[in-house]
This record gives sequence, structure tokens and C-alpha cells, in this order.
Amino acid sequence: MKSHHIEDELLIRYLLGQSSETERTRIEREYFDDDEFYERVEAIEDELIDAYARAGLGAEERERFEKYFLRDAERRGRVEFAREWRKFVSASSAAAKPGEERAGRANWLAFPPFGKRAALIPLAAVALLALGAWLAIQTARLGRQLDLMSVERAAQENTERRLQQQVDAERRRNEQLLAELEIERSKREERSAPPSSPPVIVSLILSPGLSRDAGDAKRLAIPPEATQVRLWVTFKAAAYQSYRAELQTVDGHVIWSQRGLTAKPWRQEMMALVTIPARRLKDDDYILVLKGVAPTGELSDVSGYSFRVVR
Amino acid sequence: MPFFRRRPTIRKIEWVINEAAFSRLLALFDADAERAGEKYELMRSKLIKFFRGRGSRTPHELTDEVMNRLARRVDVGEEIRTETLAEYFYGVAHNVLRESLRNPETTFPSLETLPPSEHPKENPAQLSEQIQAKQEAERRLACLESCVEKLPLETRQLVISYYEEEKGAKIGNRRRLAEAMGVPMNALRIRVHRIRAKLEKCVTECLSRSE
Repeated sequence: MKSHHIEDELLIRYLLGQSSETERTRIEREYFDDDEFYERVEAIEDELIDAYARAGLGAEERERFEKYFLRDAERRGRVEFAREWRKFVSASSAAAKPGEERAGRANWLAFPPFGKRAALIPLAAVALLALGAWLAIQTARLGRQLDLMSVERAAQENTERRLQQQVDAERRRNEQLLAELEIERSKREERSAPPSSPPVIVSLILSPGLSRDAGDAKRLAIPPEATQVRLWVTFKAAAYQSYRAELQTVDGHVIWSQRGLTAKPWRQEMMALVTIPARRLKDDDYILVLKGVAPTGELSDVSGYSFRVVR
Repeated sequence: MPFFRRRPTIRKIEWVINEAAFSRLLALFDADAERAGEKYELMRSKLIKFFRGRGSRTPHELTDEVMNRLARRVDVGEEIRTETLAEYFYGVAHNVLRESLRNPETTFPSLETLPPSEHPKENPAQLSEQIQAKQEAERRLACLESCVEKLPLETRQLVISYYEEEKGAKIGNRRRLAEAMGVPMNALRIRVHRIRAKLEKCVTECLSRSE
């Protein structure tokens, strides 16, 4: 295998952004070309995340990890997963009794290796009986582990439920106040601009509704000096972590889009902020389409809004 | 049918990937549709890792751009030899990265050029972030339990055993596992990584359903 000569230490430096340009290019070319090497890089990334999650990195590495590696939201999510996984494994080990755990592990280790199972086909009958007995033991052990975890979990749930309700109410109120504050701030920025320097930000609240009748569409007056248009779009609650907004002409031509939008509670609905460069909008009718982004990347229409720009 | 519309006035046509172009792109990876899909997803992962490693704030968008460019080239009949496919993707990715670097908003500034006061910091003191983090951790644990339950028994045993021991005992434990399975350490490491990646994906999907 051609990538054996790339050491783990170099890959860790690559993941922490400490490798030279030459080293980086070499590693990148290698994993583009060799799928198994790519998976090795991924596995080392798992180990790096685990080391950070259990506070096992040196001071310099930890600082580099926090400043470089954790800049990305997805990676921060992976660190959270690693922390929860570590707790889960510890709880699983602690719940099993030491004697049974060692016996269980010895039985599992003594079981014919996966890779050589095909060679045991001629002894299939004996192997199946042994397998059945082993599975029964393991199933019973896991059942006991789960029962214990369920009891522990139930004991915490009552207290946590009460606190949860308080926290939920407080969070909703906080988010609603933040959304109202942001709208008010935008409006004040527009009003407070002196006559000699027109406001550079124009805002509009849009409710769902598509209409190609010019009389029904909301109007947005954009002065020549405006640089940004903020559209506060409301919609019924939808279960997406992020949204994408597409600005279309009335004949359906997409002229601009924005990804990575999030939504906050707004009265009985949800609200998201779409910020469009003012230069994109001419004197015309437009349709803004809000789409939910599923974890698979698939887009689904959530709501549509029509408005008319007047310059 | 091409997925674009032209307005009566003269303007630039924006090309949007259509189903036929996407199918031709997939065919570059493999003649079998299912294998082609897997290789396509693997290439997407590699591209995202590349852009992330180069400091991009929008690795997913840049990856989409690479895929769109290749699909467009295939759509207009440009020949792309599959034995050089990886190099081809790498080359296009470099071009897309170079173009994105012209817009400072799409990349993280180099840590070396930032004054210390502007170095990224976490700010866990915010009450709403703490509350959200706690709720997120609880939902994550519930999802993790349900996702582990879905694993076949032997797979569950393998991945828990792999992570069981702490510090010095961990290496010895993993070596024993590899020997018992009759596979090299690296192969065990990759096998466990695949299981973990499935768990992470399951937890992410579970979390998005529970919100």
C-alpha cells in the first residue's frame, strides 16, 4: 500500500493545520486517490477528537485543536458526540458485573475471528450451537445493563422534567425578545440616518403568500444608496436545522440564494432573516422561496413570499 | 430538459444541474448505479475535508460547486478519463478554492495573522447557550442509546469493547481485539471508524427529528 509511509503524527499535524504546504498537498493527493488511506485519515480524526474529549491532548495541541479544529460547526458536533459516546461506554461497562464482563469478553475473544469464519463452514452445526448459547448469554447481560440504565434514568426524569419546563419557557421568551430587539434595531437604523446620508439597510417583514397580482404583493422601496435588504420571513413551525432562501423572478428564474439560515420562534410561528445585497434587486416583482434542508442535504419547500421592489 | 429559463432581456444564463447531467456524472464513478452513488458520496466527503482543511467557511457549498462544474463539463460532452478522476476532482477543487479565496468572507483568517484578541474563543457563559447545550446533550444521549440498539449485537460488542479501556490499557485492549479477529490493527481501526460514522449519522438524523 503506497500510503504506509505517511505516519500518524503527520496526519495529526495535517488535521490541526500545522503541516507544510508540501505535506498537505501530498496527503490530499493520497486520500483523493486511495479510499483506504482516506478512511485511515478519518479514523485518526476520530482518535484526535476522542483525545480532546477526554482532555488527553497536551496544552499546545489542545489550544491548536480549539482554535483551528473547532472553528467548524460540524466538528464541534463531533466533539459533543465523542463526549456522549464516552459516557455511554463508561455506563455500559460500569453496569456489567466485573466477573461476567471478563467472562463475556473472554468468550467473545475466543470466538472464531470474523475473517476466518468462512473456513468453519464444515463445522457449521457445532459452531451454530455454540453461537446460539453465546448470543443468549450476551443478550441476557445486555438486558440487565439496559434495565439498570432504565431505572437510573427514570429516577432522574421527574426532577429534570420540572426543570426542563422552566428552561423551555425561559428560552422561548428569550428568543422572542431577541427577535423583536433585532427588528427594532433595524428600524431605528433606518430612522436615525441623517437626511444627507440615506439608510443603507432596508427591512421588510413578509408573511407567506404567493401572488402574481401586482396589487396584492408587498412593496419594498429601495433608495439608490441602500446596500442591504433584510427580509424577515415568517412561517409555520418546520422541523429543519437550517434553511435555504432562493430569490426568483416571477418566471421562476433563480437569481440569488442563501444557505445556512436558522429560524427563531416568533409569536405563534417561526421567523428567519434573509439578507440580500441591494444591488440584486431591480424595479420588478420577486418571489422568495424558503426551503428546509434535511440532514441528507435534500431540500423541501417550506414557504413562498411575493414582493415588489420600487426604486 | 435543461433546467434554466431565459428572460426576454439579454442576461447571463445560469446553469443548474439537471437529472441527466447528474446521471452522467455518477456514471463516471461506476457503471453500477449503487456503487456509483457510494463512490460519489465518498468523493463528496473527501472534497469537504479538503476545503475544511484549507480554511473554508463553506466547505459544503464549494463541494457543490465542484460537482456542478464537473457535471456541466460532462453535460457538454467533455471527455473525462476515469483513471484520472481523482486527479481531476483535485484539480477542480483547487481552482474553486482559489476563486473562493478572493472573497475573504468565505474563509477563516489564518490564525497566524489574527491578533490574539481576535482569536476564536468559545463563550459558554451565555445562559441561552448553556441551556441549549444541556438540552442538546440530553437529546444526544437518548438518540445515541436508540442508535446503539439498532446495531447488530456483534457490531455493538465490537465497538463498545474497542472503546472500553482507558489510557495505557486501551492500546493493549485494541491489539488483543485485532488478534482475536485475525486482522491488522489498521483494519480494525477503519472498521470501528465505519461503525462510529454510522452512529454519528444516526444520532444527527435522530436529533433533527426530535427538534
